[in-house]
Amino acid sequence: MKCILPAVNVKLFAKAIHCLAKIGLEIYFEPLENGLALKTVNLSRSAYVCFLFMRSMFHVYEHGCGDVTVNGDAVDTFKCKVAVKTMLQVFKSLSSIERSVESCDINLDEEECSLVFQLKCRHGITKTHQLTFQECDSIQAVFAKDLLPNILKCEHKLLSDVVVNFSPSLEEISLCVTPCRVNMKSYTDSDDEASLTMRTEMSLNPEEFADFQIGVDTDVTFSLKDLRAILAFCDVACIPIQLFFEGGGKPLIFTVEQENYFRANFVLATIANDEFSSQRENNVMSNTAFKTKMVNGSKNLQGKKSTTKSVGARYSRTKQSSINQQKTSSVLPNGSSKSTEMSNHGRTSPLNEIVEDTTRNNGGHADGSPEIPDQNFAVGQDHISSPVEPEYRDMREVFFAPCQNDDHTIVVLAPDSDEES
Amino acid sequence: MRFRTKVFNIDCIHHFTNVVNTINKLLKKCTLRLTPDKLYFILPDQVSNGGVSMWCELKQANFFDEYQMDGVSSEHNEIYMEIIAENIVRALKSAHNAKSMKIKLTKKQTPCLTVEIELPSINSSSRLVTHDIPVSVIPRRLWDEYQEPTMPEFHVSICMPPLKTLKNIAERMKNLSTYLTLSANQEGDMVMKVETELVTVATRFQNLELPPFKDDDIASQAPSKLWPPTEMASARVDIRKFLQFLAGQQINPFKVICNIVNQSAIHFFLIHDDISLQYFIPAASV
Repeated sequence: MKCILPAVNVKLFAKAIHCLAKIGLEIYFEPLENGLALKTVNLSRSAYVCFLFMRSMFHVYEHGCGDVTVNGDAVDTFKCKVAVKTMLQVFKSLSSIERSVESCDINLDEEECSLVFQLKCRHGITKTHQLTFQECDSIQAVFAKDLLPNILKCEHKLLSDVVVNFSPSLEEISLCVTPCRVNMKSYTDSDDEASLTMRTEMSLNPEEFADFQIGVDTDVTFSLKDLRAILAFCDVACIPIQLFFEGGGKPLIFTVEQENYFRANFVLATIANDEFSSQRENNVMSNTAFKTKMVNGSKNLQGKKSTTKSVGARYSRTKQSSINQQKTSSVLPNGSSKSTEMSNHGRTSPLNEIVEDTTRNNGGHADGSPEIPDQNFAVGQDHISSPVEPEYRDMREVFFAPCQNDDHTIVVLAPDSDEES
Repeated sequence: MRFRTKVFNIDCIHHFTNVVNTINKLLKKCTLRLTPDKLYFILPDQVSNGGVSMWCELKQANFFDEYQMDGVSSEHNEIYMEIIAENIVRALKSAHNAKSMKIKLTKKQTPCLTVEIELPSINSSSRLVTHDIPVSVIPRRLWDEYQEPTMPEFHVSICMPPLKTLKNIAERMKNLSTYLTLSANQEGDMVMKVETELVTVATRFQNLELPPFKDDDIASQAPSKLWPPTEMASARVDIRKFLQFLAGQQINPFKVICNIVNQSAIHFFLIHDDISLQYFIPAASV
């Protein structure tokens, strides 16, 4: 792969690297047919970022490698990951990049095993950085943001204005929406903490949003630090930001997009709604027949280690990713569209929901391995996933939770897992 | 117990913010005392504070457009509460370009000082920010700990030169030593001095103004009457505490009076139109 980034776009690219650095430890570097993708996922796998810089952003973009076929299967292009720190070295100072860089050449040669960034600066100075990298599989979050009921669009400035009011030490923020009001609140975990820390709430009028579609009244709680990283990027990109979400425990997607130029998707995990999960747990406990069913269901989802206890669990950023994976997945089954629909229509018996859930869970996995869903499975979903991520079908994925329903996709983070053979 | 106040004037909000910022520089946790016409920020003289104490009073009428309060009872019409200064600073940061600000005492999960700020937005609607700052209300029996400190029986009282100048000097002296000796006499001379084994650095100020004495406060002046006018009274203080006081100033006082109790304490008195702030630093033993 070989490309040349003109001066006007180097800053945006650099800012994207800075944003990735605030979230993950490694940057996945993927030259695609239609552009260069940079992705990362954070340590607890609660945040995923994908930047796609399209061909038109580059002076020259040679995808290279061609479509080699081995045994009739298309082998996708060479992909690698780079430690964030090394990549940051190249784009350390934004101000000096803005001042002096005239173009940036990026060269990835898999034969030679070299990834070279060349910054062509003024006065004929060329800075060459040879980065070390690691060959890897791709990562891919699966999500169908267009199917989510709540969509907000606003200038990034609006969100920045909201975020400055919150304490820098605050971990999580809640976004509560109704058709007539949008509230952002500080979120504290435990009650003891709540009595000591300052609580902040900001309320906004829907008129402030360029696009305001609320299908479901809900509140979602997510990491404020990640949001700050996103907004820092938007500050340079200066284009409106879109939010797609459904409810607690289901992902929140931020999209920043400039047609045919670049696109950034940020997928953040949200904390599962307490009441709902504890209600489920109670119901599970009260009915042993369902309990066993539930255990089977969740085992299918989470692998052998899981227990019913984790059904009510929330994600935690500090936990090991494997634990987290379980926890998140325990939350995600609620995400199947039917149960949400039910809760919207005046909460039909939660027992039914469990039946729905478990049957679907079982059905979805009757044949597949519980931990690594079949590749075909992902291919089957292909028509839903947006054309944004064309490389998607060839990825090996470990899902946080599989999709049970054909019409809806649940967001899934698909890390390059250690477990795959 | 009830407290609610409103401000519409942005200058008043900024002024109040400056006071709170100053206080935040001096201490972490302070006591807010509310009376029908004044607000007080108090740091009582306690060993846990390292002997430093502070007393700041503001006239409410100069800051707030509306001010209503009912104290714990009709004969004790006051409220005392403990609050983290940084939280007020953060809350007021949102009010930088506010249309209006309300501060009130509320009962949420815990007692809170709620700051409601109305901000302008790009269209006609307004944005509303609410900060709930947890406070602990101090019961009546503990109020005695928070009484106004008595004027110390100082030996020398002198008006300080501009604090900015002092700050620049003290910052450099800080690199040499952790203690600074401040001394002054009754003829308008003041000396800031640091001493180490290798070097002694002293800065002298001359012809400083002497604050006029009021005859009603005889007790505190008694020692100064006996003090020889040319004799230096001095106190050795922690340079960081002194700098904290100098660096945090955002209220532009028109006069800063420094009272030195020989070998035991320094008392600073900031005078402004509607604010007065007193700050005590104990002398460190040699």
